[in-house]
Amino acid sequence: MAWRYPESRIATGDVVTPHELMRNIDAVASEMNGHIDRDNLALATVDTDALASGACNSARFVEIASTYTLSVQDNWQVLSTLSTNIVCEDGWLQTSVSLAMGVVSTPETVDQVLVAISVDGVIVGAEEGSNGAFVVYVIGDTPVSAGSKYIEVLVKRSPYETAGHTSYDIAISQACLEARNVRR
Amino acid sequence: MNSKHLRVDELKGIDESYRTDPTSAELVQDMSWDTLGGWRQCGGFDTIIPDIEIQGSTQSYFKGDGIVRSLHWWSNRGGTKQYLMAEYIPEGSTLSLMVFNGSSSSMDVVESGRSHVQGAWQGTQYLAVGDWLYYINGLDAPRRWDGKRSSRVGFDRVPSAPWAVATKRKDQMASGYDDGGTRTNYNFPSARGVGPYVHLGAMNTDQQQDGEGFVYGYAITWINDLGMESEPSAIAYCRGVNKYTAITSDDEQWSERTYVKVTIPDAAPNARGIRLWRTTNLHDAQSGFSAVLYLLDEWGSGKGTIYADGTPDGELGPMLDTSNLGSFPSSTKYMAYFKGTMFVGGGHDTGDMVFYSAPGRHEQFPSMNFFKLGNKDNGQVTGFYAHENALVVFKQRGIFLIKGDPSRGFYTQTLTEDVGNVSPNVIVEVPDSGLDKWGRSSGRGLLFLSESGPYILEGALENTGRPTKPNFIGQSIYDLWRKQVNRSALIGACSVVNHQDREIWIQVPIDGGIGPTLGLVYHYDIQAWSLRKDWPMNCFTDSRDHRGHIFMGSHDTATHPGIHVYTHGYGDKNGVDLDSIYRSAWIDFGTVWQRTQVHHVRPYIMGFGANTMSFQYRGDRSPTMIAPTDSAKSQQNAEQVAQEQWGTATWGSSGYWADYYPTPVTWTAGENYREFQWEVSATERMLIMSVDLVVRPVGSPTNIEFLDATLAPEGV
Repeated sequence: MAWRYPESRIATGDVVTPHELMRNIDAVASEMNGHIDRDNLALATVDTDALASGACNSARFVEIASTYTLSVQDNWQVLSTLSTNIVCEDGWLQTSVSLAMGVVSTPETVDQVLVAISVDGVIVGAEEGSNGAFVVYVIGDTPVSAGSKYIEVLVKRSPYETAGHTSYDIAISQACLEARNVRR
Repeated sequence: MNSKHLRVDELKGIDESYRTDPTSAELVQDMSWDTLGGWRQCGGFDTIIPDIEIQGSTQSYFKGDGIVRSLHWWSNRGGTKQYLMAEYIPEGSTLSLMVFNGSSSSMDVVESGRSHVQGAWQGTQYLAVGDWLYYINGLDAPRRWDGKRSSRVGFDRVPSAPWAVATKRKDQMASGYDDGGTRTNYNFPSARGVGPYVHLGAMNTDQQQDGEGFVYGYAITWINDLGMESEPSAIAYCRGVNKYTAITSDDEQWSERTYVKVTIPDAAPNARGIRLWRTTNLHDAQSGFSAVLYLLDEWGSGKGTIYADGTPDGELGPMLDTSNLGSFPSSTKYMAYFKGTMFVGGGHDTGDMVFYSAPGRHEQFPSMNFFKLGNKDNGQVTGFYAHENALVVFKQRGIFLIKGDPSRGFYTQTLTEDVGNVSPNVIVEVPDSGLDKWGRSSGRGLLFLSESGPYILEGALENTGRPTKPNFIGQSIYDLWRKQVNRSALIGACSVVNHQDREIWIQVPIDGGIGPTLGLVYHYDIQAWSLRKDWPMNCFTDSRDHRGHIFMGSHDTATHPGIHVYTHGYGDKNGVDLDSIYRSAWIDFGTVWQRTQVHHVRPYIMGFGANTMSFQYRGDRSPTMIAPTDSAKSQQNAEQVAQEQWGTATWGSSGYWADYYPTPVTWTAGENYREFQWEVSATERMLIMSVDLVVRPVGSPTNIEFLDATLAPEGV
């Protein structure tokens, strides 16, 4: 609450000393000398451009609200509830996804699956896991230019699986995506 | 007879005594005492958020808002964050606790839906402890705010008891075979269980048949965000039996041990943790045994849960000490923080009691931590003041001291059961101004209001040779006090220490009204009073930083709505002229047998410039003032060339800077009076420091022998 209010008043007809005339200005000047606080700065006075590089990041966190069932096939399937946009500055985009899954097809088939993160359609990280191993964690970092970026989580059957199943259903009980833009 | 030149060099404050001296005043209004000697116009006020012009009309930020019920300035984070808090009803809302937001030039809502009393009321009381601002009003739950979030203070109830039941399905366990056989664990990760666990061989036949019983008691406590703990819940008991079973292929048999399912309900919304407490096995306890609780487990969440207890007695944690636990006393209105302890009082049904917290646990009030002060006919507790040596407790008719500390214990002393305080928001410490240039000490003490007027509690509050006692300081304004002040509404009076002008400003209700409109100003350097009339201010606070601003909350929602700042930088009362008056006391020139012709009245004023001040006079207790034809005169020396003035001079060319200086201004009266009174007034700034009267006695003098002098003892 560093607002200052006038401390002296000069009306027409008053004899005036220079010190008195300067008193209100001195008060403001002294306030500038270490007493400026949030009350002196109007809303949105400082934007990200006014901050040092790396001082301001944008971040996203998305998680699924309920169990998500997906048919794993040879081509990428999008885990659509985790898809999100993030507004980035020039710099790096750090992403990670963690998901827990299990097979729900009958008969239960345990295979290798591939989980990936894509940014604007480009895969920036992928990890292979078993749908019998329950949890897969993928991280992916990529340089980005300023603008909105679209992040997706993709799942497909691993080309290295040997069981020979062409498709099967998995249930993803828990999954979350984290994304963070670090200014250059 | 030649004329005489009479001078009063020191113009004092108001003295309404029937017989007083010429240095006193009948009225000093809208004036402050200048430390260099003289009365000058006081400051003015304007809203803290400036009015703005929209399409030619002035828009007030607080327009449409209700009466400002309370006001408080405080800071936290080592003074780096400062807050101006207020309670009022924003247009279209309910009574809300608001905080000034300079960034958006507005007030933000901290909490709405707060309660208040329509009539005279002490309002919300504030107290900063640590980085938190505590606020209570006797109606709503006590709460605190740290600049970001508000939370309830302590707990207002004990937790619901948990529900404990021995599981029917016994979990067998065996361990530590004598022969070193295989260890088998079931369910319990730690392979333990409640109840006895004894080798079959140690049992007699009946025991082997019936098993070994156990009885446990469970209770829970809540923890809030500051680590304050609630009282424990009622103890929920649970009974069960461990039976025997053959679990090995050989002849060894061991008792089962089981676990207890404890269901813990959700905690109160402000709880941030739950502790689960348990007794040892009470199966063999004697009748009348007092259960002792030990810590079993704790959670960093207020969410209820189900807990499987298989903890042997020997692994229980520390014992629960209930002597430090207790709920925040309900409906209390006043609080103070003294020696690391919170004191509260003035509760609805416990108005004459003071409760205090456990040491270092200022939201826990053990049930035995209270004082009952004085008698019921002393009335309610009406406020605290935490001094360095003692906590001063005011009742309506009594003053008490609480001394001691948490380690040695607190104790009380009665100062008086005759004089008390009726205005909780007036209690202020009078700064020690040392000796003035006349060698007088203003003393130091605690100013408060009784029904009979203002007092100062003087003394060091301990045995230092200087007695601690209340001294009445309202003699000189006693006529006004008994005729105008609405004593039934003094609970709504308020005060503030204006350090810049070295005065204590007390707002009191008058003429049957509830909202305080009259300012009684105590100029502690000269121990004198002045008045401020028509200041519709309901509450005060001052910024306790380098700025020293005084903020005022208005109850005039039509003309001066909202929160205002008082400063000499404003020359009026939010658009209404100041009415600065210095009116002398009745100056008695002699006797009924002799009159005096008053030739001239010549006040010494500060030569501020061309702005005028007005002069009036009257004589012999006349009800009518006489204004001479030249009543209004410039505040400058008429015998010298006028100094350059603002608005006309052009500095940098012919103009020159100047400083103002004391100058006499002379008015002619020319009347014969036995008693005489004069008055100067101004709406612009004014400073008067002394007065000369040029008089000439008329008629035959008669010597008067004053009886009090004549009858004085010989030698005196």
